[in-house]
Amino acid sequence: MKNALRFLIRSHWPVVVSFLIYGGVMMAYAATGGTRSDGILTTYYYLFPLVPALFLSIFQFSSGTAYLSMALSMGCTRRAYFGANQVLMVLSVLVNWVLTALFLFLPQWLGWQGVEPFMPAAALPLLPLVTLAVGECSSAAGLLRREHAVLGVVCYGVAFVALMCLAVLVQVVKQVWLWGDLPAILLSVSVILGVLCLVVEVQQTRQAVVR
Amino acid sequence: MNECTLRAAGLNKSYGTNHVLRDLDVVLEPGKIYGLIGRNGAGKTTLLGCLTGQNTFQSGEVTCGGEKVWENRRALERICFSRELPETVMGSRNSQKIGHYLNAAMVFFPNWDQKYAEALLKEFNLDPKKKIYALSRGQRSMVTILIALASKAPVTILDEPVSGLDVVMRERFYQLLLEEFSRSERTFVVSTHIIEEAAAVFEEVLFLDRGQIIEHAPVDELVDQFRYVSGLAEEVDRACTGLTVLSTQDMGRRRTAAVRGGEKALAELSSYDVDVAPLNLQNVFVALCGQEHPQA
Repeated sequence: MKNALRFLIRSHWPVVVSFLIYGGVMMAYAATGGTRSDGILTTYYYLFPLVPALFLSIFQFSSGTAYLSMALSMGCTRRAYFGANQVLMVLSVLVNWVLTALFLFLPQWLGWQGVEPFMPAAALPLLPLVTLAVGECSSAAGLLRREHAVLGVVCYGVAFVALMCLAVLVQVVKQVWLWGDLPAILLSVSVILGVLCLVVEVQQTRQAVVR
Repeated sequence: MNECTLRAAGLNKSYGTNHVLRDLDVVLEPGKIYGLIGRNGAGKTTLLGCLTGQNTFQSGEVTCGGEKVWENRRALERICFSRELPETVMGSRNSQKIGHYLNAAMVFFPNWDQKYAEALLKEFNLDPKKKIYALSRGQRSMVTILIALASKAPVTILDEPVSGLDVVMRERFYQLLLEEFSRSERTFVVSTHIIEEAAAVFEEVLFLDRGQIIEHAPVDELVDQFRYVSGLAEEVDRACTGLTVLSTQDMGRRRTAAVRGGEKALAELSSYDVDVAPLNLQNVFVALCGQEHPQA
């Protein structure tokens, strides 16, 4: 599993670096007062918490369609790849969670005036689980895509549902009113989808072949 | 048992109703160069995939050094199966770079020789930053060959490595293969359609036909069992009594037959008024696998 993890980390680190660059650009934009006005970069600023999930989703889909075949073709076992991919996902989610928290509180720590946080701090604890669910669904989508194009697309739609849960939870759309048990419901939906997709991942990885 | 003997016993593999491999048995002893030859759709890539744990099979067993290959890291670390890199992945261009494949190989093959890989990159004039979809077919073959040779895996399998290569590069590949073999005594299995060129390199050859290995023998021994017998039709028929006639071709009253027999039976051909000529490996393959019904 160690080799498989090394392989995946080598493929994945540019994704983390991309998020760092994105965060840096957004912080610079916020520091210069850009978030006070409407504009495309302001939109990207408020999409901040979704970005790690989006990047993870794209990477995990590729993991199922391309990286798995590459690893298997070089003698990696399916068990090792599955385990390494799960470890990578958790690591990626945690690293991005810490970075998101850092970027969330940075304006406050540095005393920047008039910079609104891009998400409510109360939603921060919910971020890792829901982001992980998006990753699991996307990984399952990539694996399904190998054998069944339509099922792969359907599963990617499921990943999109998890992403929407995340979007609502972090109040990307400010007018959304998180009433009552809605956060718990959205979290539960994401977790259930993530677990179901995890089962799909196990099944699909077990029978994966290189053609 | 040597820890690098690759063995399949009772291997069965089907795709739906298409039974590709049927009760296939094969033993690949270490320290040899094998040629795997079969017609299009014979199941060569399927067989190699099953031998290397990259493809599933319905029944049978595949072992390397006595250990099962399937999902066994210890066994898989001894094997490198290098096949043509795909130009597309799931309908999209394969935008992985050559360097990415080489980095992956460095991670997974414990004996990976980075210096040798760099030397081959230079010799093949390949840029590691170039994306796979931007390579020509021949260049993709070169990457396949590079990974196979630099892996230094005790058992190295190449699936049609010379497809797309020009004649100069094909000769260079055979040279590199022999150089590496003489240095390391690794086991090489090469599947190819360009039989006659590669025949000089193979120690043993396997013919795959209709899901089974129909021949597995040292090249010289196999080729020595076959002859072309030509002359007047009646004389050829008399001469071929007791031999297995694989094919005949008539031109007017003259007949040419491809026959198979033991040393003694073939030696007796000289007592008939016929011309006797040897077959090369390609002719042997065509004689055995190009006909529907061999006649005895």
